[in-house]
Amino acid sequence: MSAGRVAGKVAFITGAARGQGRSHAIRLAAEGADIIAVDLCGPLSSVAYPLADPADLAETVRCVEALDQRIVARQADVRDLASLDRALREGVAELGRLDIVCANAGILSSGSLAELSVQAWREMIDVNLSGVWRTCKVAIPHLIAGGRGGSIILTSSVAGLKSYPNMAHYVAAKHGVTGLARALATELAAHQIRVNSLHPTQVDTDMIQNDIMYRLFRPDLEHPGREDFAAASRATGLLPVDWVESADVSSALLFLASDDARYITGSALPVDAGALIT
Amino acid sequence: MGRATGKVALVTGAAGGLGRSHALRLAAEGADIIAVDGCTPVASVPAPQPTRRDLDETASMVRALGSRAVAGQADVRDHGQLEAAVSRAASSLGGLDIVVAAAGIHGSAHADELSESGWQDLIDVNLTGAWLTCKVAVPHLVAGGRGGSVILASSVAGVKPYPAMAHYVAAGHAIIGLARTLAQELAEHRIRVNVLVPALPESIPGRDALLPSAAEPRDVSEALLFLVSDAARHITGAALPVDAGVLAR
Repeated sequence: MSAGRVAGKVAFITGAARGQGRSHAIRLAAEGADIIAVDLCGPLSSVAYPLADPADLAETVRCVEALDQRIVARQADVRDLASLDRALREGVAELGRLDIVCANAGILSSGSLAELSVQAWREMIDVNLSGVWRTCKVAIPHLIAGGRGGSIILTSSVAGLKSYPNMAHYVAAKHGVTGLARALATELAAHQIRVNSLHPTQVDTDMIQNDIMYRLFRPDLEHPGREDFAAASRATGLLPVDWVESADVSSALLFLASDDARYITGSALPVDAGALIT
Repeated sequence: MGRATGKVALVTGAAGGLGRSHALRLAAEGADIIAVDGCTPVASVPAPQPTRRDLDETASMVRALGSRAVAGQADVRDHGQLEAAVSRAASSLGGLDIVVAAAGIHGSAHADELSESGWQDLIDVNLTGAWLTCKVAVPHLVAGGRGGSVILASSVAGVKPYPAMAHYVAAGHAIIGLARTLAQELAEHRIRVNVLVPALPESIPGRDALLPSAAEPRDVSEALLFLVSDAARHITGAALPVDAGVLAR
């Protein structure tokens, strides 16, 4: 076993097939953790960009195993408590414990109050807010039963602390995640379980590198592309970068998951290139 | 001349509690009222919910103050019911100026005990219900071309966390995000969107206020009246505490 910063621990990660979730899995594995990875691996009706597929999840498995760590990967839907519970139980049965929870699964869609369909609202709240709660719901009993404390990291967003037009459902869900992290922090502290939220700005993943985001950021252009988006995205922050990388979010997550952050709970950590103070 | 004379206000959750208090306060200042309530029990909420009789009583009390009232039984979780009730009432009262999304439930359970239906009912009523209320009502404000005021109901749990109510805290935070986003989207129509952040003893336990006595429903309605009136014409995207100093501690 490597003497990494989370050596010997087991981490449960949702949305782990690609993007930030895969990055978290690789980073935690590189620091000695075994991984329980879940992902929907399929489409959602209100999401216009392609979501992950089973091959993406298999690639996460390959990456973690290449680091000589164990991984249990399952297709599971954060909207379905039973499927999530089953996947986690199987993972804990095989890997023997649970220490770290990364509620990372999330989607993006857009629309003004008039444009946004009831279906798109419900799917967003169900995945990005209730899905985060279901992840905690199934994981908390394992953490408490372990009696060793734990660290829960909820992926919110800059939009969990400030608002943007044309995505009321996303902003509401992410503000809800901020509140959920703080509420759970008050409840679980007695078990030495810490709960914090991460607030990334635009992260260079498939969730933002698509026409929906390009149009959202460049309503002035008819066919905005990656470069047009990059300029507008860069303008939302202070540091001279177009966006942040998944690895930057994983670094913050690793810190919160590790004992380096043993007295940090209920915090909301931005990884935002300064977007919150513009 | 009242502070809301000539205006039409939609109030959800109007059969009892804060919703009724808001409806009566607005009516006393001259507003006509569209009083909406689901009037049906919510499965995960043990406390008795107001009935159709309570909703009709709110309407009678509004009329006794000299204002017009239309009562509509509609569940804020049901887009179709809500749209039908609001459209019918708005056309009979000649438009819509003020939207008060006051329908809400409360529950208490620790994180490891909170059931999925307990979570889902609260998110559906308090959060999705507030959005659906805006979704069906705001087009009437836009069509009127007179601007307007939208008030969403959160609580101090939308700003600071409390134990044993993760769903209520999450929904409260989410409602503040929703209000701030809608404030951005609707400003061009001169529609203001603000949130009330009360600390009422029945939903927020403990005595952690600065002032010696806790806020009452009438205090929340006074704050609401201020926000919907022209005295607050340049206030939008705000979250106004009515909390006897809970958040200032």
